[in-house]
Amino acid sequence: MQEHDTEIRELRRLIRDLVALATTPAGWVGRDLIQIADGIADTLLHTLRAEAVYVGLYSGNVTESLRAAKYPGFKGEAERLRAEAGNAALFVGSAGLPDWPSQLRVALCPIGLSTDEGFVAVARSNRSFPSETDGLLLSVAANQGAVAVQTARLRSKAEFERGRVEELLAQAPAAIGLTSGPQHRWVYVNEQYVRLTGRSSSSDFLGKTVLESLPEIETQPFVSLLDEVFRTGESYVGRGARAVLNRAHTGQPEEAYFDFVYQPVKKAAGTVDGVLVHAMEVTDAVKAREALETTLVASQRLAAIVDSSDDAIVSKNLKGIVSSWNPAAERIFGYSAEEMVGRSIRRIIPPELQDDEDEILAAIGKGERIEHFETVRLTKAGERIDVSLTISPVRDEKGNIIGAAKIAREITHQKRAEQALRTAERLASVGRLAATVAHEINNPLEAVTNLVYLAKDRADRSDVREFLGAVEDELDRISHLTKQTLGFYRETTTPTLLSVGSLIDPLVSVFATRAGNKGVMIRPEIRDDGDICAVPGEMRQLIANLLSNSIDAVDQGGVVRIRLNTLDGASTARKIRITVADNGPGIPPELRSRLFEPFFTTKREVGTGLGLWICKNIVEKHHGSIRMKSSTRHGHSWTVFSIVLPSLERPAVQETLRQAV
Amino acid sequence: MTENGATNTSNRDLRQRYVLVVDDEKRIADTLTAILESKGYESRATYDGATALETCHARIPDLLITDVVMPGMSGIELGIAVKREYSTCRVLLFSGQAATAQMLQDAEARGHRFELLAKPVHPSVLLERVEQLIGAGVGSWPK
Repeated sequence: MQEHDTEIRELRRLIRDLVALATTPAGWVGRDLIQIADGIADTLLHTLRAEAVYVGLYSGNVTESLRAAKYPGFKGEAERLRAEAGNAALFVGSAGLPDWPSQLRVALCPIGLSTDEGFVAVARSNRSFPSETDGLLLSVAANQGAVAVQTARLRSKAEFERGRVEELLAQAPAAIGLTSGPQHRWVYVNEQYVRLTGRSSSSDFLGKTVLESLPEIETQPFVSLLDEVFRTGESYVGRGARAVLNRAHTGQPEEAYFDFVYQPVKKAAGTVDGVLVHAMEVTDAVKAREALETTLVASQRLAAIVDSSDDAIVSKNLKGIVSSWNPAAERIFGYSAEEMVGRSIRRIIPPELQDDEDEILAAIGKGERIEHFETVRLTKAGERIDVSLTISPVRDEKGNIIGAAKIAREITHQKRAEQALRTAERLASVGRLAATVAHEINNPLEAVTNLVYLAKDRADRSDVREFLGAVEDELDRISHLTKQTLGFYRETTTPTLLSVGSLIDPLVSVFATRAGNKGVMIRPEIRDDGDICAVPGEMRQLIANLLSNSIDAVDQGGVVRIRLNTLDGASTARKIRITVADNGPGIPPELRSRLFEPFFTTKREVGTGLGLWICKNIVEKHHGSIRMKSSTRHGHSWTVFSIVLPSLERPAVQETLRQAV
Repeated sequence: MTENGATNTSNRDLRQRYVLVVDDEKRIADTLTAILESKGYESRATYDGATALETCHARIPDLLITDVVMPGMSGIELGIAVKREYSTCRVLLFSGQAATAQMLQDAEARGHRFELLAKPVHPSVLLERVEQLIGAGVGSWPK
């Protein structure tokens, strides 16, 4: 009966513990191997009332669990017995170290197919251990453990694979993140993504929505782009997109630029599950490009300023070799950029001033700046011009002086203006003197004229009357001279109808003496006269200036022609043309464009540089045109100035001119 | 001879034309007077404006020929006074100075217009103008 009772008790225990064991591994699922080993050990301690348990799992890394506080060295004993047990499903042996109880018995059972994969050793000081039930329970526990280990191993293999993918993603140079659902909740971000957004770890993202994790982008288009990608299932590619992120820990918004892709992640059914975010920061490139563009714009603007400057702006290296030459330099010095770039600046320095350049280069080499240095330079045409130079050293990015930038302002005009003013003052005082003298001459002249007249009237002898007639002729010449030189009446400024031919003859006679002294012939040729409406004094000055220039231009034996003819066109109004031609040396091409500029002269000693400028103004005031043609061909050189003036009906022109005056 | 000289101007009175000459340069005034007399005009020379004006009281001239720039009263002032008091008298100015042009313009601005001849003026030119203004001198010799 007692034995029966014991059996029943054992049976109950078995059933209870089997049920417990059967459910236990469920608790182990998802656990690590060490948790499994500990679980097995604890279960057996309890179930078998064991005094010591050792669990060893050997595939892969060794995982052990030891519950043997009472028996130091139990692990070694368990391993010794394991070697004895081989691959027996259940092995029972005695273990004993000197101070252990003699009746201590140890049961071993492999976890898995053999003890190589792992085993469990359970010790109890009871000679009947393990009972049949104990053995059964031990086998079941070991089996459950094997299943749990197997599951754990499979799981860790999957985890390992996933880990490998994550590792790859983590090592990817781009920032990668994965969101899930329409709220764009982060399920993954890599290290680069954390770094790129200026956060400290992936925990700032995982489980949060994109907007929760990056609140500063609320006003930026990224979330709505994600919405769009999630809704349409179409990926979005952004290039150089600007984002403002609170990256610095100060919380200051920081501008950054990205190339990015929002790639929809689809389930098998094709519905969008989430969005893969792939971003690469391109701030440096964008900033560099912007800087380059800014520099480019700045340099273009600078170039435009240099190009449009009235002053010559020139750069040269420390040997004086020109590296840039702006349009004003072309205009002032007459050399084109092609002619100067790569050549020495000494080309425009007069021979006696070559030392200038050595001093300039020496000063520049020492980093000094030269300001408003007034000197003389040579143009291509050989003309000497007064210039004011400002020269500054040019440095490379390291600060080394590599050349000089030179600004040259032409001050010839200024100097000539000063000279012209002095001349004008001198002329004015001469004029005042002349007017006084004229009065003194006119009065005695009047008396002498009267006296001669009376004498002639009363002379009986015909030869005396003849002599007195000659005296009258000479007196007439004198009076003509005083009137013409000094001008009795103020010159009228009212345009009147006048014949151009009537102006030419007296002017030719005025210049005849000067031309004759030089051995130059003036040939007037009035082919066809015409009336024009003009201010007589101005027309006279116009013709006089051209005649005077031509006489100056030709050498001895030269000829100056002045021709007058009319131009009739079917469709055009009648015009008259005045042509003044000479066979002088001609005007060099490089000077031609500047002829009509004020103060431009090649006759430095005598010219005011105003003659042709005045001519142009007079012609324009009378609605006409003035043109110049010239040839410098040796032996066949010539220059022709031709003026065309309208010869309209009197009332119309008079009205026009009245308005103009 | 007087009758002959006036044949072509039969409808005007035949008394001798009287020309008053004023110039501070005595030689000019005298020679001009002599020339005018030689052509049949009665002429008198004075050397300043005030005397000239006084002379007019004795006999009103048909023509006053006066220099412009003179000490004391200028020729223009004299001309204005003479024209105001003796409206029948014609006035002819002659001058050798450029400044005269300005004086003439000033007078014109005040409503006085004068004819001006530039010195030196040849006697034949002057005589031609005198004849146009007051007719030939009755004592002139036929040419």
